[in-house]
Amino acid sequence: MVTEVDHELCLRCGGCVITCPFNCIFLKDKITITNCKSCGKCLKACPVRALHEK
Amino acid sequence: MKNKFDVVVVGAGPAGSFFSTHLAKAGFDVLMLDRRREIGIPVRCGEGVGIPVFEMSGIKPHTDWAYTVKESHLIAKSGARAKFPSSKPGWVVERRVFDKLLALKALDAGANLLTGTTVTGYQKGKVVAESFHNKQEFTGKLVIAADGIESYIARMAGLCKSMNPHDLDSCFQYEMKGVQMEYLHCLEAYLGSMAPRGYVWIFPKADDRANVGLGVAGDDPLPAKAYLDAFIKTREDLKTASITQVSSGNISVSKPIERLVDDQLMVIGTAARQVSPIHGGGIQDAIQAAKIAAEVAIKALEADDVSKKRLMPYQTAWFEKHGNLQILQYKLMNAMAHFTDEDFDYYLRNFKVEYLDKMWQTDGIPQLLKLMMARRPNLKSIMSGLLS
Repeated sequence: MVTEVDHELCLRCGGCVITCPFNCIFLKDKITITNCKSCGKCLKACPVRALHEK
Repeated sequence: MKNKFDVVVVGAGPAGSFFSTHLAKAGFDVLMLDRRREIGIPVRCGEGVGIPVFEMSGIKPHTDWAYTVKESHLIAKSGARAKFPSSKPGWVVERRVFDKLLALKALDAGANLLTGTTVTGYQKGKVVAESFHNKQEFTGKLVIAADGIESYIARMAGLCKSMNPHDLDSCFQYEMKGVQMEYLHCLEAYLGSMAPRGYVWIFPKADDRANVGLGVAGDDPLPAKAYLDAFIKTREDLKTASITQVSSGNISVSKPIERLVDDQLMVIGTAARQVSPIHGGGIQDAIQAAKIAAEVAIKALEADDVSKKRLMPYQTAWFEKHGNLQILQYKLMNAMAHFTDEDFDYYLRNFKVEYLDKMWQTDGIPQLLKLMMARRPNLKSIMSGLLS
């Protein structure tokens, strides 16, 4: 399982970036996730629940 | 563009711009880098700004982009309303204008700025930045991490780790037009189960337009947007208003990071979690920290010594003036997280302005915690733990 971003919902607030313990999430002009460890920490921090595990 | 500077500032928000203005004025060669393609956008803020920020930054509020507020109300779910006038008027601003004016001040002072430029790598005295697929390296005797909540630089430098969602407020906001205001020029904060641990804010931007937003604990099972939509449904004055802007964000309601400096590095503003956990406002904290950091940085650069030891006075002075209070406010916030709607009703019915004043005094917060303990014996164990 890895975490994916729904870019339609994402407002690029960066909450997921700072909650990722493995520095896997990066915000440039949009959120990118690489080498996700599926820890799930970022999921709740998202105010619009744009992140989900797949 | 050249790639060697005295100072490379990552982030052109209030902290970065304010710091850059001071360093450029002192004659140093400053480069500001900002990920965003337009300064101040996207807005991740309720946009309330107190008068000290305008006084410190020298920016003059203009009615085109700033609406004055003269009083604040705290409101419980029961409708109990504590009213208190502001000792000095504050403003609700358009951050996209305010932040740009702050950045322009830095440029007027002689700083350089690259927008749409994301820092993707950091080593001591050096950053790698990307813009339109173009990678560039910039070196600075000093690097300033003013990169906001994501704190990329501070994490890369090992000064802080990721945050527990519990220490964040997850926020969602609509700017609404056509709001029927009962009170004009008034900041409203609704406390209770409509926004667990946080609050709903209605911050006016015109007589019929306001930021209507809320923050909830980052580990709450429901998303912030769901809480806000539910709140608006209960309000006749908001139901028919149009949404003119949607924004979301995460506010750090945490202790500050413990180490603010390293060799050739200073962390300022939200990147250092210098945000009051009580109201979640960070602009004033950012500017206060940037001011202390700038004074220390100027001396260090003049002495050509940007070692951790030389930069340490910033950390020491900041904790003395602001950080130690923030740590106590963090305890207070965690205590208040246990309040029920009935508790808020009780406190707001028996509200005293001095309670608020105490929240900004290191010796006032233990007094407040004791008061709460007296009212809620069942919270005694939690509160006494917090007091130790």
